[in-house]
Amino acid sequence: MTRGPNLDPERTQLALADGVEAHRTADGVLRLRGPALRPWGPMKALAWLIRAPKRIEVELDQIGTWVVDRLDRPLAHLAQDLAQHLKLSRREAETALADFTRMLQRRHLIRLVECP
Amino acid sequence: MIIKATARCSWQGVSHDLPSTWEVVGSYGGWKRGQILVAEDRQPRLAISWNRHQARPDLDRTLVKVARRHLREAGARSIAPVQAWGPDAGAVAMVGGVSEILLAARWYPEARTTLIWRQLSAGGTGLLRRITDATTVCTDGEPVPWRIHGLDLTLEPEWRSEGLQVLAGMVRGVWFRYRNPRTVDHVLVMRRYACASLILAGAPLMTWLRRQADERETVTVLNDAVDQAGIVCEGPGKTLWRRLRGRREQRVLHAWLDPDADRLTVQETCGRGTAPICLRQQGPSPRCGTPQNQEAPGHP
Repeated sequence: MTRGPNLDPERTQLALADGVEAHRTADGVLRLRGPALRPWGPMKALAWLIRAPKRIEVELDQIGTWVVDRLDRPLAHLAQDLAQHLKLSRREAETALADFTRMLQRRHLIRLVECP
Repeated sequence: MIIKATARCSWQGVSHDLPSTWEVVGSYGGWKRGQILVAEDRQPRLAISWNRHQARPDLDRTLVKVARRHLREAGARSIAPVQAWGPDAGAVAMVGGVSEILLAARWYPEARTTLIWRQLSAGGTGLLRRITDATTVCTDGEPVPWRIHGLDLTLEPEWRSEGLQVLAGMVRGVWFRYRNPRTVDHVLVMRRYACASLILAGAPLMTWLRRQADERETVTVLNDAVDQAGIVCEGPGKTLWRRLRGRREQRVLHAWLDPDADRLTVQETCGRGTAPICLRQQGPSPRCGTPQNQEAPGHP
């Protein structure tokens, strides 16, 4: 298991990864569309064989949309606002936010940056 | 002296009055012995362990033994003499480090249980003494309160916890009823969900509860109110052998809303014999970690 550097949640915020576009659907939720995937070598053949999608596209639910609409805030403040919005405890909000961030990071849709 | 609001927390028959900003972040073990870890925000505060045994312990020796085991972890160098906190309680300080870390122990003769409180960060003697004085332990034969992570119920002594799962937005606890030490005749699952308004999505509680029934089950309504509903789901036997014998499975579901906290609690029971009635406690469900100082009525 690799461990990354310890980040200060007061000075770290989320940002959409390079090349990721956010579109709002008719229902008001966000759809995140990643950059085109360019597999190479044997992975290209495998992607063609299994008909892999050309790009990663994810439609968020209401809560995910609410979070992504507030990416300009530090993580600590975002967790606090999420706890107030959904009537969660601070610990629940931080865990939920961490799980959500991890899911989007795994799909290369989001990244952690230092607050300006 | 500033007196903080407290919240009652009960697990495995041991009930504590903890400051309302503290919460249980880990629970281990079972009825006979176990441990809970308590933290405040990101600061660990207390480790509370219990051990049920017949013989009366030598508390001084127990305290020194536990202190020696945790001396290095506490960053201390030596152990101060044991202080008596009553006929069945004592405390010892681990000193020599950045700050003094305390260990306290108490013997509950009726419940035949020893409890040990270990500070995980310096917190002074006064608060620890208040916590140890307010802790109560149930005997094996009396009804047991279970109050943790928002779950709030009182069960007969035959019920024992088999597991607790805490996820962001959901807490699930499982209890088995033992008619004798080897036979389980009933299972109780309590689930408490956050964001109840999102889960229900505008539908009445009974409509949502009916959707929890399997398509092969027949639903009978027990009660239907705005904030509380109950159904019985009866379906064919789970295994081929049970179906051949004509046995049917029955489970009872109760659900209730806590509108202030936007929580939905679901009680599901199945097994032989009489099913427990709806275990909803009247009044708000106190929870360690929220700034309330309330006791649900009916709790001692």
